[in-house]
Amino acid sequence: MKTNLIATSIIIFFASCTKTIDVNLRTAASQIVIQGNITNLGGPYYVKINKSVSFDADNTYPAVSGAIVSVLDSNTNVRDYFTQTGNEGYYASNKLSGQIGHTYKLSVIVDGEEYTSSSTMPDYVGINELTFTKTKIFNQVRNLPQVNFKDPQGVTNYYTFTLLVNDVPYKAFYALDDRLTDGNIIRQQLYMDSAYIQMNDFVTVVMANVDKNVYNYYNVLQSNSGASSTTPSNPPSNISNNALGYFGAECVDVKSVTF
Amino acid sequence: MQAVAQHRYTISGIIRDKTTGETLIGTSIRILPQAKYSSTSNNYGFYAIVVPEGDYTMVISYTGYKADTISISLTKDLIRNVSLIPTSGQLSEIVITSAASHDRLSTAQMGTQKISTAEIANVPVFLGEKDVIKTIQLLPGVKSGGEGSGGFYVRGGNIDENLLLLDEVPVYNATHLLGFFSTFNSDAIKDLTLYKGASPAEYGGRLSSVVDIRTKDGNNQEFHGSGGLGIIASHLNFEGPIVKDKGSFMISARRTYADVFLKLSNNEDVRNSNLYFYDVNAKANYNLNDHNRIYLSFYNGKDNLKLSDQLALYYGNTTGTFRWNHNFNSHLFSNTTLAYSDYNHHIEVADNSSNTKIISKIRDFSFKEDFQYFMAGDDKIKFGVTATHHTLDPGMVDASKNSSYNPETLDKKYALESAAYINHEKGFGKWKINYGLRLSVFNVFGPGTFYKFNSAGDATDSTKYAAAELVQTYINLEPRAAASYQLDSVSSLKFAYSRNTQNVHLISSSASTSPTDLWILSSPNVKPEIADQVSLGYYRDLSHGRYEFSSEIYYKQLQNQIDFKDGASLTVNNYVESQLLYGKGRAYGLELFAKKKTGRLTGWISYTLSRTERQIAEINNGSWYPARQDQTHNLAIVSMYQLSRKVTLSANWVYNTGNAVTYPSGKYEINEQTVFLYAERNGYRMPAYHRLDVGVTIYGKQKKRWNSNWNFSVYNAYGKENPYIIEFKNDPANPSRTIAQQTALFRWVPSITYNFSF
Repeated sequence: MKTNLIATSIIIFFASCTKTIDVNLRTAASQIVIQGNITNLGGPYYVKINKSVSFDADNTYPAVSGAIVSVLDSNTNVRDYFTQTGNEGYYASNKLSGQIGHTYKLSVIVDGEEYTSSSTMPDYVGINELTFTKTKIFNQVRNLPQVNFKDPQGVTNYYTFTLLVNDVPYKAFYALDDRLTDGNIIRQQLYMDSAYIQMNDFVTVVMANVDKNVYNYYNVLQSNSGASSTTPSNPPSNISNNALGYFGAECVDVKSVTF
Repeated sequence: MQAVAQHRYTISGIIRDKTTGETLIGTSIRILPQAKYSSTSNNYGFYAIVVPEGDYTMVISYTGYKADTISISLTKDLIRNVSLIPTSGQLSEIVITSAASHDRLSTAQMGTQKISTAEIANVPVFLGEKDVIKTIQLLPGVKSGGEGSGGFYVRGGNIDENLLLLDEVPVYNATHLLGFFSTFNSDAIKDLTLYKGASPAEYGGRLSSVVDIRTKDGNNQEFHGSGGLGIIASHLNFEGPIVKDKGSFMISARRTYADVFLKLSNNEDVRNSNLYFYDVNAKANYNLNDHNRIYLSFYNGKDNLKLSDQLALYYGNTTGTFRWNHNFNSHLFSNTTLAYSDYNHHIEVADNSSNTKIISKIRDFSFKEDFQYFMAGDDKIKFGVTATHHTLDPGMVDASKNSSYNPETLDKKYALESAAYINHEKGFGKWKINYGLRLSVFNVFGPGTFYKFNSAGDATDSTKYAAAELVQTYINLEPRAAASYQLDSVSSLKFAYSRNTQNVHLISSSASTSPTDLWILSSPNVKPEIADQVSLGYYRDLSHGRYEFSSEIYYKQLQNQIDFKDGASLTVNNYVESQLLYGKGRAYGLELFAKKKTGRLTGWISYTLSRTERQIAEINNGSWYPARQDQTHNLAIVSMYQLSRKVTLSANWVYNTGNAVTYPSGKYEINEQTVFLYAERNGYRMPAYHRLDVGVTIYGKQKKRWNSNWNFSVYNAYGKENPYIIEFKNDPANPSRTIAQQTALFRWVPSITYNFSF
C-alpha cells in the first residue's frame, strides 16, 4: 500500500496522460480454478469450479461440471458430498454447518484428478460499527467506509473484507493482519479508487476472520491491484495439484448502513 | 638496470588551478625525455615521481588547461607546486574529460570515466537542473532507473550496489523528489570518477560501481559567488579564501520552490500540500604547512512531500568528513579520514482522529587511513585500513492515542565493517599493471535477538545476545587486478578482474525503488553479496586525439542476491529476514563509446548491448529470468554545438529497450472479480523508451565582475508518451472485457534558468 500511495502521488503531482494500448500477450494453458468458502453462518455453502481463459477473451469462464466435490469436517469426521446445482460450475453442500475451530478438508475430483485443501475456522471477531470517513484531496471529497472493531489481544488475527454498495460487490480485495495493531480498536478504511460512497448509498461490509493461507491469498491480490509498482504475482493457492483459487473456512460478521 | 647505481631523487608537489587555487585531480605529469617517468596527481592534487639524478623537462597537462613545462635539474629532492591556467572562460561548469589521452590509453585501470569541471553545463537536463548523476546515465554500462524511480544500474547491478562517495563518505540515498533530481549539487562538485566494478583495492563495500565525488575546496585567492534561478529551483554558491593561499571555504545551497506556488492556491488542501527539497554543501580547508593540510566537509539534504493532510514523506541524508593530508616525506603521502553519515525516512499517515509515523534510519561513523608510497618512476603502492560502525534503526512506529497502530520500536542492529588493502601499480615496457588485495571483515554485534526461520517463514529458534557480544563474522578476500598493453602510440588493450563484496543491502521491490526502501545489514541469515567481474577493453585515439574510442566487454557473476516474497511485509517487522529470498545473478555485455573532443561540435555516442539475469529458487520456478533493468539496447547521443561565442546549442537523444516486466498470460475469477494469471517473471517488455532533449545557452556580455547566461531547454522535445506504468484492468466501457492502459508522466517539459557568477 505504501508504494501504491507513492506511485499515486507521483501521478497526481505530475500532469500525466493515460491511454489504452495494445499489448501482445502470450496465453498460458487453461487451468482449473476452485473457490470454496465455509462460514459460521448456516449453509448451503458453495464450491465453484471453472477454468481460466486468455486475457483477450470475454470475462466468461468455462464452468466445470461433473466434478465430485466433498468437504470433511475433521473434528466430527463427517464428510458431506456436494450436489451440482442448476447454475453450472456451482456445487452446494447438503448437511454441513460450519463451526468455529473446526478444520475442513476439501476434495474435488475432476476427470480422475484430485485437488485437496484444508482450512480452519478462526474465532469470531465482530464489527462494532460501520462508519464513514470524509477525506478531501485536491477539491475532491471522498467518502470511504470504515470498519470499526476490537482486535483481541495476544492472538494473531487475519481479516478479509468484502464491500457491497447498493448490493453490488465493489471490485477490490481487502486483507489485514494485526501484526502492528494487536489488541487495539481498529478503524480500517476500505480504500476505493473510484466511485466513492454517495448520499443514500446502502453499504454492506462482510468482515471475515480467516486463517493465514487465506490472508496470504488476499494480501497478494491486494498488493497486485491498482497502480502498484511491485512486480505482480499469482496469489498462493492453498489447493493441491496446481489448481488456482482457494478454499477458506471463515468466521464472518455482516453489517449494513445507509450513508 | 644502470639506474640502480645512480642516485634517485623525488620531485613532488601539488597541482592547482591558478585562478582559483583549487587542487586538480588526475593531472598528467611527465618527465621528458624519459617518458616512462610519469604520474598523475591524486585526489588531493598531490603528485610525486622518483627519477634518477639529471636534467629534465617536466610537462604538466590537464584537459581544459594550458599545459605547463618546467625545466628541472635534479640533484636533490625537490618540491614543485604547479598552478595551471584554464583555457576556457566558463570555469564553473562541468566537463567530461578523460585525463590526457596518453594516460587514458596507458593506464591499467578500465571501466572508468571521469567527469570534471567545464563542459556538460550545456547538456540539456530535466527542469534545467545540472546533474552529474543524470549525466553519468548517458555513459555506456550505466542505466537510468527511469522517470519517477531514483537511482541507476551499473552493468546489471542493483541500485544499492553503487558506492556513492561524497568526500569519502558513503551517501545512502542519492535522490531528491523520488528520483527526479540527485542529491549532488553540481555547483559544489569539483570532480567525479565512476568505476564500473573494476575499482582499485582502496574502494570496497558495494558490488557494482564506485562513484567518487569530490567537492570544491573553494577559491583561495578571492571571493566569488555564483548561482542560478530556475523555474523549479534556485541555487547559490559562495567561496573564498580564509587566509589567501593558505585556506579557503565553499558553501553551496539549493532549494526547490514548487511549494511556494502551492501556498498561493485558494484551495486549502493544495495549500496544505508540500513538495520541496533543499540541500547544503559546505567545506573548508586549511594548509597548516607544506606537510599538513586539513579539510572539513558537510552535507545536509532533506525532502518534504506532503499530500494534503493525509500522507507525508520526509527523507534526507547528512554527512560530515574531517580529513588530514600529511606527507611524511616526498615518498609517502597519507590521508586520515573521520566521517559521519546518516540517512532516515519518515512516513506520516493521518486520518480524522489520529496520526501514525513510521521511521527508519541508518547511521555510520567511520575511520580511514590511506597511504601512498611512491617508488621509482611510475611504481606506486597504496595501502590502508578502514573501519565503519553501522547503527541501523530498522523501524519504529510512533502512534497517536487514537491510532489503530501500536507504538513499536524494533531492536537496533549494530555492525563493524572493516577492511585492509594494498594496491601496487607499475609499468613494464608496453605493459602497465595495477593489482591489489582487499581483506574485508564484517562483524555483527549484539545487543539484540537473532532468529532462525523455516521455509514457511516462521521463527523456529531465537538467540539473545548481550551488548557488544559478537553474533557473526564474515571475512572475504577480494583480489583486484588490471593490466594494459600498449599496441601502438594510439591504441591499447586492457584486461581486468575484480571481486567485490557487500554487507549493507537495500531491500527494494524488484520493480522500482522508493526512498522508504529498507536498508538491512548482513546477519546470520543474510550472507554477504559477492560479485566477480572480468572485462576486456580496446582503447583507441583517432585523428590526433580529436576523437577517442573505447570498447569493453564484461561478464559478471553475483552471489547471495536478495529479493523478497510475494506480498512480503517489510515495514517495522522484527522478522523481516523471514520475508527474504536469496539467489544469484549474472550480467554480460558490450559497451561502445566514441567521443569528439574538439571543434565547434563536441559530444559523444554511447551504446551498450547487454543482458542481466537473476535466478532465485522461489521465483519463476527456479529458472533464470531477466532482471527488471535488463535493457538489451541502450543508446545515448550527446551533442553540443557552439554556434557563436555567445550561443551554444545542445541536444541529446536516448533510446533503450523497455524494462523487463511481468504481464498476465490469462485471467480467472475470484469473488466475481477478474484476477490475472502470471506465467513467468519479467517475461515481457515495456515499449522501447526514447526521448530527445534540446537546449540553448546564451551568454551575456563578459564583464569584469559579473558573468551570466540564460539557459532554455525542453525535456522530451517531441513529446513521446513513455509509459510510467502499464496497468491491466476491466474495461470501464465494457465490463466483459479487459484492457491494458498506460500512464505516461510528461511530455514536453520546458524550463528556463538564469545563471550568474561574480
